Amino acid sequence: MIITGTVTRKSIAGGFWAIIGDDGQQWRPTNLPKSLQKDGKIVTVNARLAEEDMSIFMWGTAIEII
Amino acid sequence: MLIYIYAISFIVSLSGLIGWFYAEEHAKRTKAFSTIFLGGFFVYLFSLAFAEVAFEQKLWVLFRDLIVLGLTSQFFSFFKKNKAIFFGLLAILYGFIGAKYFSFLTNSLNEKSKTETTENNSTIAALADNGELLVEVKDGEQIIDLQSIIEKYNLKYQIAFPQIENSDITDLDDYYLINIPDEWEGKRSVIVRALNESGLVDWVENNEVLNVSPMRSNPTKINRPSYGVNDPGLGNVWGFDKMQMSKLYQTIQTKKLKPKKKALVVILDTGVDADHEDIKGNYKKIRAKYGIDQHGHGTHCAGIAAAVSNNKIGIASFAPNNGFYKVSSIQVLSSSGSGTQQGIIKGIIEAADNGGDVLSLSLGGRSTDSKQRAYKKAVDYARSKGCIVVVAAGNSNMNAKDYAPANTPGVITVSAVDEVLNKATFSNTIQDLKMGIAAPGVNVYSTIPNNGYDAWNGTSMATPYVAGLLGLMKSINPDLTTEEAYEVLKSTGIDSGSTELTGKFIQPQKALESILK
Repeated sequence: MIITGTVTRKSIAGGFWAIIGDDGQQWRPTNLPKSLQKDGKIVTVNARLAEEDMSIFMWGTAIEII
Repeated sequence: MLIYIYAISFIVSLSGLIGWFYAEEHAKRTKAFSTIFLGGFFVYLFSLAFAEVAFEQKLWVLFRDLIVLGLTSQFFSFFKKNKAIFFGLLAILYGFIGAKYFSFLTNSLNEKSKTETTENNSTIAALADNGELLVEVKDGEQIIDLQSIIEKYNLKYQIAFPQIENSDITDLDDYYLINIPDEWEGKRSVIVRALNESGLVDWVENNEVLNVSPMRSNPTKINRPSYGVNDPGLGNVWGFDKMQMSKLYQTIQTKKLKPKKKALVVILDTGVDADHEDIKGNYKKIRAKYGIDQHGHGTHCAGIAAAVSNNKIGIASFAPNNGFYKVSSIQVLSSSGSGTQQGIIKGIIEAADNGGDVLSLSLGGRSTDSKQRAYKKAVDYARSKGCIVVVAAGNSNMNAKDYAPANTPGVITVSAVDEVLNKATFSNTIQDLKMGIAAPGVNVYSTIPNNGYDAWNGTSMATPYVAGLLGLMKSINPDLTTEEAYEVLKSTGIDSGSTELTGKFIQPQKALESILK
């Protein structure tokens, strides 16, 4: 699936990178490339749902960027 | 800077006034000197007005300076007909100003701090022997900003760690040692409160022995008087105030409480750094491989639930003498902080089979019917073995009924609140769950691997607070069921900013008193 949104750093559970989709969806990429790890950066990524189903983050939907 | 402007502007004013008297018969020169005087005097008044000294002192300085201006200019006017004497005296005047009077002027706006520094230097040894206060002034603030408190109680202060070479890598250079004079010794707690409420300090604590070594490796007698334990990091743990931990400790100590059994709180997480200096003493091994944490999350949770109290390092937990419960770890999540439902359920079973009394799960994900059923079976199994299972509500600012295992029947679900007891912006809500409760979950200071400490956010952090308290309660009453425990937490808790969304905020001392009845 193609996701377009804004990269943001969440300071929950030690911190993680997230993408807030243009439609408001909360995505939590498990492998966001370093080059995209910038607060406020607008990105479009091709991703699939991550196999992870439980985590310490308890925020958004885990995705794996492909 | 302002005091130099003050001194220079005074000298300019004086020069202008002398010149004005000297040249009063020459219209052009008179105008030029009067302009110099008025300009200089305006700057003088401005600098004096904003000088950081008491108003009375400003008035005195103004009075003195006006007399000096008037008398000096008048004196020079007597000799204006004799140029040799006039300029000779002028040279002497400027020589005197350069040699003595300039520093006199600058010190006249700095006299108080100079006096205090001198006095403090003479009392260093006494301070080290007395029970002084150690104060960490906030970044960007100055100790002089506490002047009203310092003056009111006649406090003396000095830099606590003047030997620091690399102040850019430590906050220790913000520490001041404050000496309370004997006549105010009885008001120590009032002074501590005043300092805390000033908004200018990060931390106030008792200090009986001064040492520049890092606190966690320094066997000092540092106390935080309001809690009665000596863990120096507690100044960063705001939740202790809101949970009224000093009352809890007082109850445990005055009633001389003894545990009926040593309860076990199991952290199901990314593992726990079992060798952490502030966890090791309370740690009970289930398997060696669970005593490692490559993420940090599990170690943070373990510290919240069961950091070793009163050990002169780091933080503390719910028992001041550590004799009531232990903490253990079962690793159910990877170093990235994620895992599978299967792994978590295996972990719940393993914890129950290994004597866990309270199982703390700071984890979760979106719920499905099948997930909920599977978790319910695992939780039922743990409950049948006497365990209380505590689960984080989740961090998506959504209804926790849609998150598992937060929504599993039979668990206590924990939401997070901030320093003013408002729901944390990220915290899921518990209004549709049977057993929801609230605990500190924002800016929570606790242990991280390799003897570190840090402040984290999340319902993950709120959960082990409840788990630790339940560990204490289970040690007093080993037969306490989940429902009984929850009723105690709920009935003794206090309202948050939105209790219907968070549940009641835990009050450990009242909860303990309740199960002692």
